[in-house]
Amino acid sequence: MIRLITLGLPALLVAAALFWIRPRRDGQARPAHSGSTITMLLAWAVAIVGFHPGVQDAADDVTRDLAKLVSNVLMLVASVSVVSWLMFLNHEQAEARRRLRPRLAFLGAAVTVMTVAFFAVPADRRWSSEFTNTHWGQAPILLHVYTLAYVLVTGHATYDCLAQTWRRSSQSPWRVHRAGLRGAAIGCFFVLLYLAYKVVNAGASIAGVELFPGGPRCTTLVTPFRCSFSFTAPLLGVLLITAGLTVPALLWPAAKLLRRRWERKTAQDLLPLWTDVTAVRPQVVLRAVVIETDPDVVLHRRVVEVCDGILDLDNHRSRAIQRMATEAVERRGQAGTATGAAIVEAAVVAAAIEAARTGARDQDDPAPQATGESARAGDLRAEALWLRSVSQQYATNDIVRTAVAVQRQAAPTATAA
Amino acid sequence: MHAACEDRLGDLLPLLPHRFSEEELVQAVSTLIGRPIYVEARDMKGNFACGLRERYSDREVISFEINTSPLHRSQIVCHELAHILCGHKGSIRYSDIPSDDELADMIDWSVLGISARTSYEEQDEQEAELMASLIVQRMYRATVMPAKRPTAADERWNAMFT
Repeated sequence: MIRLITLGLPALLVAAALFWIRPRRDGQARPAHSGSTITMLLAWAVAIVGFHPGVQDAADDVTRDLAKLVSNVLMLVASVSVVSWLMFLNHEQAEARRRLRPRLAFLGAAVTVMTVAFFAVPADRRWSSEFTNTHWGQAPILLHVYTLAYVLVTGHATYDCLAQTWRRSSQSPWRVHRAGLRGAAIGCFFVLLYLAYKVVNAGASIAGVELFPGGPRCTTLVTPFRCSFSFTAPLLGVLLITAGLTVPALLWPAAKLLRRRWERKTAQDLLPLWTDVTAVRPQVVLRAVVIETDPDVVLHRRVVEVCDGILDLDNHRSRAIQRMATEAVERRGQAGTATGAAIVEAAVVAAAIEAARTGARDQDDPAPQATGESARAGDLRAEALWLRSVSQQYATNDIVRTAVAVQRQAAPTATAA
Repeated sequence: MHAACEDRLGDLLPLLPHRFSEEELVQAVSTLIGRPIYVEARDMKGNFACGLRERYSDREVISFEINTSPLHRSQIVCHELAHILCGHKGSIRYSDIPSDDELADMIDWSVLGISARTSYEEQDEQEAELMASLIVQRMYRATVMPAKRPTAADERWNAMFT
């Protein structure tokens, strides 16, 4: 299992790095932070490979517990690659490099301290030695210095990642991005939890208390399985961080496809209303200029032209029709709903179109336009959603058909309030 | 006409962030032309247009119909801003307005030219409406897509997954 994870996860990370390296279409420049993202993904891939039993055994063959030093150093590099990535996201390249330099120096210092501490401790007093395993309270202080250096660098990077991904997760305008960033932040939390365990374990050891049974490397406190927490927590953390920062990128093309389909479908749904409005108010259509046929452009023009047409029909909006439609909607228990509002607006517009078509006299006191409740927030999506529901009611609702019939039969002034 | 509008947009967009509001757009156009632009909401019921642009020697005044939806208002304002960006003189003179018309009371006599958003028969109106559509389209696309060339930190974060 461990072999599969320590090879499978790096393969996923390398694939994610290749995704970032891919050539861009439409002349789109690769984002400035791409380099740091690729570095981060590759650094994590190498760090996880460091936990592969083959690598661990090879290192431990050189000297006892060298595998721990190797994997810890690789983890530190991976952690600082996260800091680098955050720097390049938050700052211009030159500024990011400037801010990164002291952190790299900090990393160098931590690696030096860990290496010196590691080799200064005799092999028979290191973590896996029988003495340290059985007398963890009397472990050499240098082993705790080693842990402290490791936790300081990793903890700083992880906290930085947690704080920023969590903060940005509430600011991103897209749901899938927010979910990804939240996932990454939760992953950082698991890594911090693991680091907190390391610090507490080391602190307890210095105080001569064996707080967690299981020795210096692993605890058996939570489950009967050895190393379940100290292995699962960082692994879960890395998995969540990786998934949180990769899955949204993979979902983005699908989201784009769905949006375009929605735009095309909505433009189509507006057709019944648009056709009749522009038949009586042809001047609102921008016919002379060929505009792109992108679905968002078509939808935008259709929405604007319907709005222009409805505004131009203002003088034909009958309060009597509005009242009749409102009463009919109330009788059906749809008063106060978005559908009810759309039915009333569709009835008023349909009667206004009929009045314009038959050359009826202007209303003395025209009915005001429906607000469309909170749906008309001001962006294309909100406005299109509102007009789509009006158009759907316009095409299918019998209250609307009745309104047109009433308008058709009434004398031009009879429908006035 | 489309290419000319895109060119003008190319001059304007560097003055704006990827996601921009109507206020920021007005400010950017004002910076570009070096004159203040005043935007006013008016109840234009009974008048022939839902948007007006008044060109004065020292300022520009834009009026838009208040009794319509926010998106429609935005399109109207962008249409009038497009007249300014395209350098249109305004096809209506103050002397063309009948003295008993409500419009005559709304507009200062020192106006150099007036554009009114009514139909798209005139070339200036077509160009302004096309330009307005391109601007509003940019505003919409900025809400559904990240910046192609992110510059600010917010834009880089939003572009990180694409």
